[in-house]
Amino acid sequence: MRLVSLHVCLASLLIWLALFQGAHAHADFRGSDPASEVLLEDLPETVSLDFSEPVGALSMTWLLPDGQRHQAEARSIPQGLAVSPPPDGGRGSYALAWRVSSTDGHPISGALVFSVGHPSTPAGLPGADDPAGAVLSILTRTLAMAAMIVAVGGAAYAVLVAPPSPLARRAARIAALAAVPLSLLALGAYGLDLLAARPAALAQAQTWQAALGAPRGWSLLLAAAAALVALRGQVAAMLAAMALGAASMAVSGHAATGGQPLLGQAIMAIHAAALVFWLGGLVALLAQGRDRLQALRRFSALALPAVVLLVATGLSLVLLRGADWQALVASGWGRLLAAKLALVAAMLGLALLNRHVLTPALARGDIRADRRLRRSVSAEIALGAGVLLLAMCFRLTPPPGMAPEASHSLQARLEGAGAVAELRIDGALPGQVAAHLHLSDAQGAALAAQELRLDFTDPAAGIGPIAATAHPADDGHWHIAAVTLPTAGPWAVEALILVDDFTQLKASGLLGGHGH
Amino acid sequence: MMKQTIAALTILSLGAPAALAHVTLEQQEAAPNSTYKAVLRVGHGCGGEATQKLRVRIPEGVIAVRPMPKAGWELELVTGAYAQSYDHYGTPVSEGVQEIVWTGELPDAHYDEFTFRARLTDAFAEGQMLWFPVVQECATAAERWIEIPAEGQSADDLQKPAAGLRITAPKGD
Repeated sequence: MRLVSLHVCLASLLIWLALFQGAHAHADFRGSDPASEVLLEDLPETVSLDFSEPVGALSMTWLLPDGQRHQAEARSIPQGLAVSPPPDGGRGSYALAWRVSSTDGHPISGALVFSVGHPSTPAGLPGADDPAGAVLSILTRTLAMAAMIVAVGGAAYAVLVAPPSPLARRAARIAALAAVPLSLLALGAYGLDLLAARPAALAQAQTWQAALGAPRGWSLLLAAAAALVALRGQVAAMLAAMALGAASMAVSGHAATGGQPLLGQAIMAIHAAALVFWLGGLVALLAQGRDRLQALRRFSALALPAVVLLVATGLSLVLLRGADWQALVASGWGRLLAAKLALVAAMLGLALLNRHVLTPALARGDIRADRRLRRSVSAEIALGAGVLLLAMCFRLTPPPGMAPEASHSLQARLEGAGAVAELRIDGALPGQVAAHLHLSDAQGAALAAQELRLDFTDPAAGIGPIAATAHPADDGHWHIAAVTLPTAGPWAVEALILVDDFTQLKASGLLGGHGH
Repeated sequence: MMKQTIAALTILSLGAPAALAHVTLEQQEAAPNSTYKAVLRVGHGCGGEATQKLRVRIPEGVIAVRPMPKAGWELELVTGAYAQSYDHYGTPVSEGVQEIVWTGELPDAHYDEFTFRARLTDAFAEGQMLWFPVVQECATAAERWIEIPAEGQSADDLQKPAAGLRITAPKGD
């Protein structure tokens, strides 16, 4: 028995030594044909990957410009692997997501990206690759914001105009409670939209992380908080709810990404507050039973400055873009704006009718005036809902006055032990983009480096890492002239920073989504 | 028999060494307050090119470094001040070798070992990992074995880990 175990031990020792002596290494990826980032006229007939050691293919997937995926075949050749070329997916960027195992069993993965004809560009509208997702996201967002407006506007009405009727009080309460599930629904829909995922992906944490990673996502939580705070019905709570509600509309969207983001956001917040008061107040006014006349007069007195503010801030937001009118008229953004302005003009017309015709009629005791007034206010609310929906649609199209690099630029902060990299990506995803980096140490001082490489990975699409070497520029920044990221992301980015010959720091972060 | 096989397989799987064309230390465990003979094993060059230079960074807390001369290789030592003063048999030491550079030629297809001796001070605790970053320079390329695993990461997760040494319990004395 002892002899047997001795033999076993000796045998295992021999195997162990054999392993020890063998060429057990992580294989290094050395290059490919076609090379990474090249622009080809036609689809390649052969594709090969070159490794420093023999490797076994674990998985090979082509991602085509039309978004299709295609399983690839790989066979060993002396220099590495020959991979079956992609099927025709049109002109644009092709990505091969590869995963191989080295002789020591360690899997390594990467992506080869090249373009045929031209690099992929984002479809006309962000999210247009899945319009259903964008529509669902916009509709749920409109509902969540409408609920917030009824709740917060109702609270403002109660404090500033008149004690609300029991019906109005109930409406505000229901809206406030509905705002929470609606916001969560809209958040989920936004996550699906970002990842272009199916509703089943709601069960995945990734969907929610993507949604919460963008201001447009967490602004929904601000809206839900605003609605809940509005439930308390005191002056201070109303003001807080109004501030939260206004912030929920101002933190995201084009106001936050223009040339002067702070000014844009401040104006947008006032714009939003005026809208909340006007639209939410109208709902409370509609539900006001008796004493309508008095409430109507007070509401009119306050709504007038609110509307003036609304129009003035709206106009300044357009002017802030510095767009010339011709470009405005020609753009999708301009047409949306025109439609929104038409609805607002109709609302103003009804408001004037209420103020100058129906209110005096009601004061005279005209019996029909009450019914006409109710109808007119209802129509005004319906138009307001339309305005809100159109406002949410602005995300589909960038405003023309926006400098191209501003509208097609993404930023990310990569962080790690001892190093922070501020990353700016110029260009839109998917597509070929340029990258600019600024490195600093943990204390915020500039960090000098010898070499810098970025690894881009899209975990949702299973692509990456796509490695790109950055080059130092005179101004202390680092640049990558061109790297093609074949999906809209979000992309996990890792910076490998060689500080001196023996020290490498790492910093990582998340880049994008559909952006704004 | 079954039991022994399982036991042997367990030993085998636990003992299977990490990727071996990495630059690694032959002896991967040592006690603090002891003299350590480091043998760096170099299995290949830089993607096909011959190695022309091997540079080792000596981590803080490792003193009295003496490289072993190597036929055909020129030796160069880079010295500097330590972060603190260490006791070396009653003598305080505050500066010493921080980098060893071997210059010569090692074809990609060959294997070689590079040896130095050093004193591991008592600055290390049991279980601690000590990392020796190594840079392998070839005619046009370089391999940098300098990655140090982050918390919760293993050297196996890294493409180019530095050569690691685990500190064991101090010898009873």
